[in-house]
Amino acid sequence: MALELLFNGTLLAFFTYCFFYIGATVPKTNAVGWGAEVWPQAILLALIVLIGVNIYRVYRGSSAEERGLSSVRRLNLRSIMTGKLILGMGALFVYAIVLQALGFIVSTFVFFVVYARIVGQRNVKSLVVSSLVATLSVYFIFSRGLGVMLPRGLGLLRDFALILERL
Amino acid sequence: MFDLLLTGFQIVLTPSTFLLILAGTILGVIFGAMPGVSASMSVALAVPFTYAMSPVVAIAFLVAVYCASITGGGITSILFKIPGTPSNAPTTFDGYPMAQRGEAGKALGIALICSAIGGTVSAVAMLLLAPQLANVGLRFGPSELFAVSVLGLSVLTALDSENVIKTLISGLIGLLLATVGMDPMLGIPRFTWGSSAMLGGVEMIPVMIGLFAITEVLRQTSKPLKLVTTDSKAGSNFKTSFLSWPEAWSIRWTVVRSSILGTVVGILPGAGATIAAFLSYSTEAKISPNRKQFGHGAIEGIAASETANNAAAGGSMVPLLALGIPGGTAAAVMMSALVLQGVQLGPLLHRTQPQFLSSVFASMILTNILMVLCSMAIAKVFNKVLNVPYSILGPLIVLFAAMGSFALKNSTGDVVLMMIAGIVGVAFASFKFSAAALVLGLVLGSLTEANLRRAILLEGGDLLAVISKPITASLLLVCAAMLLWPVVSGALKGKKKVAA
Repeated sequence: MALELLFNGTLLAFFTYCFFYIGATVPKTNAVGWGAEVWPQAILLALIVLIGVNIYRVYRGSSAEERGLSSVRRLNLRSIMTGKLILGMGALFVYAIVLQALGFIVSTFVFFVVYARIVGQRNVKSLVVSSLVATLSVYFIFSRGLGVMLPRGLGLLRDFALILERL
Repeated sequence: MFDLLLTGFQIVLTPSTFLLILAGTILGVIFGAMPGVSASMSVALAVPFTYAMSPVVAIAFLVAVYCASITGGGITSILFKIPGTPSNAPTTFDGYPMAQRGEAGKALGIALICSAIGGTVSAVAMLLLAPQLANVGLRFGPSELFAVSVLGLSVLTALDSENVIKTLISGLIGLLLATVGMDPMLGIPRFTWGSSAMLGGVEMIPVMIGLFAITEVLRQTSKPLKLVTTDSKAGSNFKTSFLSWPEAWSIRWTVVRSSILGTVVGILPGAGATIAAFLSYSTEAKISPNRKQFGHGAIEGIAASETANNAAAGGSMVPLLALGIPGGTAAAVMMSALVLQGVQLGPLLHRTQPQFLSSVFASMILTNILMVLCSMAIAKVFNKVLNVPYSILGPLIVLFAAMGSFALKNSTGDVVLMMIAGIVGVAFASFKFSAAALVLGLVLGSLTEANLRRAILLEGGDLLAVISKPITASLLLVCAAMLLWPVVSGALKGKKKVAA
């Protein structure tokens, strides 16, 4: 319940900010027709009302024990942060961020090893072989098959990617 | 009509297009048979392959993937009691018991033939209905088109009638995301926070791939390493066989009823293949002479479910091609792929580019024939595919998804967007918000806003004049009824329970 309220509360705060942001950054409505801010503000208003109703429903639907601050204290942040889901999200996010700098080959190989390990693959030989095969397969499908210019990386990694492309 | 059909078959039977449709069919059957890969996700993962294709070939390819994925989902439903897509869930009720008693081949034969019949009936319905609907659509002005867009959005509450408020919130977030970037009428930047990268708006494809593919992979991350079958004996060995003539004759009315029901449900925006399959199964379970056998391996049960879900796939193409309104989530993904190629879907499409409709029709017919042949072969090797641990399958899906998003504009920004959408999708799934509703809002958002503002401008700023036009008002009343129905029916059910 606490996490759900936190999620809804964050949405409510963000959309309330957006409501005022769009009003402040878009020029005022002209005489005929709607201005650029009216449609988004109408959506945001509906969102704010519905999220408010949802928060009320979540709160009302929970037991007295869940409503107290003790439910927040019971949240084991350490176990949440070290859970497979959070680790998986982290791996995905880092992969997306470093893809440009490290290039497709290196970042994908490392990502595959890390993600397969998070999911539960323990056999190192299997990890390395499957990562290599998957990386090269996807590389050839997209780079050679579909003509997509995959990220080459920077510096030495770029030179390595160029050598591979010449093969 | 004959010329149109000839053009369609000429397009799909050119060697390169034929091979692409064959590849799409195989890809679709494989994606569909993989548990956790829904039909919408299959289409989203196939979109990157269309970047290098012409728009007509692209839609023929995507249609092949879509139709085949729904059929492919039946394979694992029968062999392992694991529905490949949600629309195959009713197939498990009778398909798996048949597999358990050593009739897996026959169950697969029924599923494939009935899928092909359902798909073909809906393709014919699409060919006949879409032009008529498009002709009506051509008489529509901005206000009527706004009402049609709202009609597309009004199915939001039907997507998850248990969580109406959360589904509405999800749909509204999709509508809000569609407003990011340049305003369609005045060219004013909105929600860009001063970044020029945001001026182009939120790309639909990475968001969809993230919400469907990445979310599912993340959710599977904390689950078992292998997909577990409840009885390893059931799908281990089977010989493919088709129905005997008396058996086939005995299910003829089931197939006819399910084809019609599936097509009609598919045409209704948002209803989709899952509702069609369950509705058809429950209808047959009530009226079939063999109803006592339902749930214990009745051939009518498999026929009802598989005919209806494929018929719905074809039905969902009718509003997409006639009015530019997606009939379901997979159709929404197809729509965004075509918009990306510069195709303006809507009533004018049939006049200006009739080859779209004919090639979709020809592709559906061809796919339905090819998938019967491909699926049998794929079913035989699928035992082994399911033995691949998720620690390999999961990251591989992520790689395809990431490269699919990257290939859109050769931008790693789209990969980041896809990952964010995937993470948001996990939060949505955890708190029972609807990713499908968000996608529908995102796809229809700009269309709805542009038509509404155009209509208001034409009426001199008078909103009442816009919504009180006869067709607009009628359509908006239908929308209101569709939006409110789940709420009203829920309240009525609640009252009945209290009274009981």
